[in-house]
Amino acid sequence: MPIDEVLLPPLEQVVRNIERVIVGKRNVIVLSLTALLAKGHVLLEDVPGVGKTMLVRALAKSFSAELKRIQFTPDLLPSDVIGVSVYNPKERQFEYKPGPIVAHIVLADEINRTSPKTQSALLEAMEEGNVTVDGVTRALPQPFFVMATQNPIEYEGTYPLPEAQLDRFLLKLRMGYPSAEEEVDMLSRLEHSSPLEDIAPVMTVEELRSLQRKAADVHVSDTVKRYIVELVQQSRQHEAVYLGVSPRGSVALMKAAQAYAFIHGRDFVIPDDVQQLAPYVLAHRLLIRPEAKWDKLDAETVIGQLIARTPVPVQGRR
Amino acid sequence: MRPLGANLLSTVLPNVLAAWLLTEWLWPLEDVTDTAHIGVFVSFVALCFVLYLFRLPVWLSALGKIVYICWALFRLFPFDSIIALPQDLWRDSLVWLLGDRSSMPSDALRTFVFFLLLWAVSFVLRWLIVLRNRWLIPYALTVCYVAVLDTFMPYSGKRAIIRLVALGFFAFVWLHGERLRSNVPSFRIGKWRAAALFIPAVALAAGYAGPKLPPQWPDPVAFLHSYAAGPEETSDDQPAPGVKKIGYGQNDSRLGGPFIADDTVVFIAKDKGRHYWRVETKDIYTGKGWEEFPSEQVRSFENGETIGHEWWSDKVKTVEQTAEINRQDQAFHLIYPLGLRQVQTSEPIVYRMHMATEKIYTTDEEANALPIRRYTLTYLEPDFPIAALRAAPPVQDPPFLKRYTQLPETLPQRVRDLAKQITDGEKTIYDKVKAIEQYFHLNGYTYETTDVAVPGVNQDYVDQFLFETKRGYCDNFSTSMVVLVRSLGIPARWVKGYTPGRLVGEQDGQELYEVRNNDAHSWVEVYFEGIGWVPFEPTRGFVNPYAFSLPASNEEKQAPQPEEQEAPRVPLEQLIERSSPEQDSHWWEKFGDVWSWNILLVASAVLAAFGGAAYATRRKWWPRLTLLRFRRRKLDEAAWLVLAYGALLRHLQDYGLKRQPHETLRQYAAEVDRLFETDEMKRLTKLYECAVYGTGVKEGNVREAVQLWENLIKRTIS
Repeated sequence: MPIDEVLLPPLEQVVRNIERVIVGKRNVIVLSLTALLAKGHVLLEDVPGVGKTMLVRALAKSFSAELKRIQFTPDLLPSDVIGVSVYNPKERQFEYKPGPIVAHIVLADEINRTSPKTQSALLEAMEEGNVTVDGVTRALPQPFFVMATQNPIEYEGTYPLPEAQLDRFLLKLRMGYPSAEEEVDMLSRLEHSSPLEDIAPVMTVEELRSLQRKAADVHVSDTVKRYIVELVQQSRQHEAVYLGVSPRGSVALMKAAQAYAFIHGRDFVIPDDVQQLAPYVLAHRLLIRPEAKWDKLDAETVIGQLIARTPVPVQGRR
Repeated sequence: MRPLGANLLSTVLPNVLAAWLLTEWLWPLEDVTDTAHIGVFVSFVALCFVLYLFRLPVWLSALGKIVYICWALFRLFPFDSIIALPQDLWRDSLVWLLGDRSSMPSDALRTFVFFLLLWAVSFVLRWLIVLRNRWLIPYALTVCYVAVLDTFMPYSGKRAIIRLVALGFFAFVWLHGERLRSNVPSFRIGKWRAAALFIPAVALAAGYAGPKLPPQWPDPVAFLHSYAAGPEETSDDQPAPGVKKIGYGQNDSRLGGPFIADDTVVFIAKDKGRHYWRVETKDIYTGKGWEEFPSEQVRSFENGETIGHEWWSDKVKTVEQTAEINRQDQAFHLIYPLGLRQVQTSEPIVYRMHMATEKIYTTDEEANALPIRRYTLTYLEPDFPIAALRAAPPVQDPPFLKRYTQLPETLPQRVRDLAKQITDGEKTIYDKVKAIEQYFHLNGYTYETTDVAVPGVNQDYVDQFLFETKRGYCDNFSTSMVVLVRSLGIPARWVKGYTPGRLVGEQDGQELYEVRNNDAHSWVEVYFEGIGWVPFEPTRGFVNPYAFSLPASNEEKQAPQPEEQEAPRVPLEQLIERSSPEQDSHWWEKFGDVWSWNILLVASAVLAAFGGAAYATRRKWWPRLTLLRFRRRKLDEAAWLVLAYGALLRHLQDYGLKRQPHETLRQYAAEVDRLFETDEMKRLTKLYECAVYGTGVKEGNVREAVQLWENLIKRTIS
């Protein structure tokens, strides 16, 4: 059950914008915005055709940000992602040709179809915010937001991302199919033209950057910090978990909660934010024991159990 | 986070429970074995658990225990110095291992080994109860132990059972709570603990104060005996070998044969403590049984008159006691305790004590026998000083010696040889007698009442028992001991009477004992020059009920020490120190006298009724009380809101709206608002969130919060 609160007006505008092209996925939109404001990246795991690309394009358009798309294929090379130095005979020197990663918003499609070498090139750029070509480090534009999609791992011809790299994504989301009514609604919207054309920009990249700064200023009380830590520590003790959430996971959960609180117009984090975000922040940072899968236990179920086991602090620390 | 106090409690309590269980095993030892100074062992158990509690390094806690053991051994036994202690123990164990294993190891060594055993057991108990939370098996074993001892041994487990039931309830609730808490993080241990204390306390108080039915089952021991004896009596193909014995008999000239169980109650005694009941002594051993000494000397005395029989010299410390006897059969003689001074009965009876046998007949003034049923006895309870017994010189009086060392010509030489062999190395008379008394405990002698042989025509009764059958009942053991002692030239005689019987209840601060024909018994008295006749108990499975005391160490040093003192062999049973009955009354008994249980019961019932009524109507007054409390409180806004919101949560929970621990306040507020059909809780919660998770409440919002809070509290009034 999402938090019953109105969003900050400009962000509400963004959500409305995107809702024009994506029907009935308000939660995914809000969460994507959360990742964007927390300077994190999103991994979307879903089957093709549920609107992943639409979501990113609408997002980029709302912020009038530059969007680039990289389609990952098995033969893609790291230089195809980060760019390459080319010799310019006129100037008699090497010149950097930026790759598709040099943009505000990058859609990395089917990231698990490419080789680990190329994957890690992308993930390093995401983590560090810059790319290094021929020994020269170049900063990526700010804000820099990657929305990667991957097919469910059971599919053939995939290179699953190792846990250390999954850790680089702040949130892992799933779109899911729309309901029948929503799908009908979607059809009627697309009957004559693409609604994407009608999306008007809500704010500039500059304004987005200032929102990011404000989100980082949101207050997290010691009580809530302790709650986050207890939740994460529970994950390390859970009987079905092989490898629990790392301290980097606690940081991610706090950062995401700050952004989430900010989106909802609050200047402090409440445990509800943490509970809302925990499944998306923590699930891909857990390794479930293989035998637990016999009991149909997946990471999301385990997170649900962790939340049910951790008492919510309702009084301040004295 | 749990408060420190709760943490401390939950570590200390399992340790206390475990230590308590172990001490329940120790207390009965004083009554059923001849172990003394139980307090020393109990303290050791306590020490073990205290050391575990502090989680000292292994070497340090082991050192602590060893120091305690050494100190205790040094205090209990006459070691020359604490340095000589390990050496002496080593020597004793070598003597026992390499030498004659038919004797007991020295008492110091036995005590030392017992300490080690306690050490090991406390370790196991700690592992089970404290570390594994498994207390049911040790607890069940303890209950069985107390029950068996209570049933089959002269030990009253009444108090122990009450303690155990209390402990059991308490431990069950507490430890189960601990287990729940470790599995369910949100478990509310505080309430659980309150219940853990309250419910068993109420149950126990009710059980203690309430009326009780008499025992609903017949005595299982008598039943088992009669069941076991039953088939033998019916399958009487072989005629029993002439002799058999049923309960107390007059004629002892031919001993042997089975002892037939007979459950008839002979008398009921109201008394302070346990001691044997005498009837008569016999002193001529014929090789087949006992005859009376041919003497007609009689001493007469009347009701309330001091009998003028000197039992012991003044070296024996005595305490005057009274007992009341109610005979269930018709008899013309007294059953009396050792140390008798006066007899009192309602009828004008003249008591005639037959000096040869010390049997006291009840007659009228013309010496016609009169039956006696109910009488009161005044007697001296003796406490024999071991030092004086050790110092006693051999008896010199020739006629006395002749009479009490009489043995038949036909007594086989091997009996005399055995006596010498047993007492070899013992220096004092007392130690020799003690060695003979203890001899039966080790060398394959068993207590047996049915399959007991009758000596053949050319056989000696004692010789047959000592060397051939080795099974028998009290007559076999006591007669053998008298003969063995006599063969060493020490005067001894054979005493007949009854054991203390079975404790059946209490009356007027005294204990009621029921003595049946089955309790007929025989034992030994040995004469010590300058002291008098001292009772001994050789029969296996019986414990000498009389007190023998070592003097306190400083007195011992002043007392003239005979050379024999050097031998460090002090049998443990000599250490028995009986506390006098005055010391037995504890403070809680005195408290019980002042505050009769009825008053306490009424008071607690009234309190409980008030408490119950207050609890039932709490929703009417408790929220109002809270309103009043928080209106008067002057605090800064944020602190007020935090406290007031906490109180509101408690009231809502009492109202039936329980917040699950994993529920956030908003989720809970939504539920509350749905029930009350309002949005006040949501609004208040948002303000509270600012106070507790945020940076503070804005001033203008506090007034709104107070209003919302009051409205919500009022909603919980029903």
